[in-house]
Amino acid sequence: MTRTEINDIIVNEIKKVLENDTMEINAETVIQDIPEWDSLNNVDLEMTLETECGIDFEVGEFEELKTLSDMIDTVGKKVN
Amino acid sequence: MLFNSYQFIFIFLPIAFGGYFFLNAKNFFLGSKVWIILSSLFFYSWWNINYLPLIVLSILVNFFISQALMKDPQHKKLFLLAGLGFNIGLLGYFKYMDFFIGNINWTLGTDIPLLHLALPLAISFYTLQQIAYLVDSYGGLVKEKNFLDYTIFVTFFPQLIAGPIVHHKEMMPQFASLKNKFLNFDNIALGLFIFSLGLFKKVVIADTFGMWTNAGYAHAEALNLIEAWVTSLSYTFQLYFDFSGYTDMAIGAALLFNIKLPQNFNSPYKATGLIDFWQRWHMTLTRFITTYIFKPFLKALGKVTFEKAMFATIFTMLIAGIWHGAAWTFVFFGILHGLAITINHYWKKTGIHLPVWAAWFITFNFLNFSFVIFRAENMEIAISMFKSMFGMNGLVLSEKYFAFLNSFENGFFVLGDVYPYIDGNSRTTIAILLAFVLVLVFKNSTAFLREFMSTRASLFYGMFLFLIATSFMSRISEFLYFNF
Repeated sequence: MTRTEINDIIVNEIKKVLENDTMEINAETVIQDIPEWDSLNNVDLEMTLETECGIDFEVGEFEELKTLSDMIDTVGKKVN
Repeated sequence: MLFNSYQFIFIFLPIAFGGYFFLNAKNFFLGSKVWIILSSLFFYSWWNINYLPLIVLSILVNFFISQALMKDPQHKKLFLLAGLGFNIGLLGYFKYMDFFIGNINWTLGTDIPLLHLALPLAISFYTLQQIAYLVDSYGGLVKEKNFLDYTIFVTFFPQLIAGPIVHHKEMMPQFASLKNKFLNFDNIALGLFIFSLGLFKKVVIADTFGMWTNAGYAHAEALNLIEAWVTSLSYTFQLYFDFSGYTDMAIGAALLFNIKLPQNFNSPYKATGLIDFWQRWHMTLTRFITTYIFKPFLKALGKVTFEKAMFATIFTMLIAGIWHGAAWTFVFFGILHGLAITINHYWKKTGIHLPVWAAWFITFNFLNFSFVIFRAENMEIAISMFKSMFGMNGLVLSEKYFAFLNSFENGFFVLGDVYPYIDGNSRTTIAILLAFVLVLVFKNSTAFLREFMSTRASLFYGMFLFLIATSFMSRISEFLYFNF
């Protein structure tokens, strides 16, 4: 999987759960700080990545990933 | 030793601080580690040395299990389960055994004697912290091989008694950093400032509301409408200023040692929903229960659906409720908050937006009611308080200001002394109003931390808070969260 593919999965999922197509998300966006973002959305995103990328996060691992690029890095390491 | 005691501020803290940096300055790093551990254990034992063996046992067992886990990955699941069993067992035995026995006796009509165990100080906090550590070790997220470092992680005195609940992975790199081993005057200025702010919140604000709270709850069944509301609001404010004051002092004390503890409060009473509230209140507990209870539980339920997530939310909040104490009031408090968060999620799905003031009003009143259950010794007292808040004992207005209403006096409404039971006066009313201003308008201590500059103005402001606070310290009182 390429970084762009992982990036698209994450960004699309965030836009989907927040029902907001117009929001700006870049590599340095801190996901937890997005307005309206809550722990339920976070589980949602984690599970989506697990299913779509065929990976597993350890308990507590996903919470450590702050920015979009942190997520892409970690997912990238796990799939490749 | 309490943070708000002369012994801590003028004797213990300067000695612990001086010794630590003296040893570091001599490049005797091993010595400074031992020094901070001994200081922390001394700090802990000051209350009751009988609890010392228990925390030492807990540290030894958890460290041993984490080592076994790393050395023998094939059986790591077994070690994790053993570790969880040990921690939950220890907490269960000391915190919940009598509650359990009492309920068995009540349901089965048996007469098993209670154990009457005193709750060992800090056990709820150090147990959670070590559970998180074990789970993180299991997942390979932390690797600690040094026993002294591990002991510092658990016992570091600023966060030992009542949090913030820290993670190994956010603490140990800070202790390891060479730069952090030497005096940093910016951190000292900042630490002293935040410590003073916390001390002021605790001894001046929280303890003042505490007097009215205690007096009011002692007569919950007799309070008039206004007095009942003032009592419940007093507790709501006391709880916040007490716990966030404690946390500020913890953060300030840790900063003296160049250690940054995580944020625990973010103006929680500004929340406009229950989800929002728990993202702002006791944030390190929320982080713990979300990561280590809610998510694993939800994942264990299989494919995630909204309904399952809501069920997991209520379950998690129930655990969070019971974590505060072994009583039906806490069970009820937890379920109530779980339900409220669920309603909040359903509401979010509808896409309807309430005006901010309305959302705040509903949230704050829900909190204030739920804290009645949280505070009351039992459900009867909580119900009495609710009845009083709904005017079952009538409404009394001050004779002094409302004499012109005397022709309206009837069975429900009379003129007279508004605060006979809580021994209040017009200053009580003003204090409640001021507290609203403080929690709704003012910046919180994290914002102060972020924007702090060591200027003469901050020095005077800090000194002012400190001097007022220390002059109030003759009335020593414990922190509410020491009981949880």
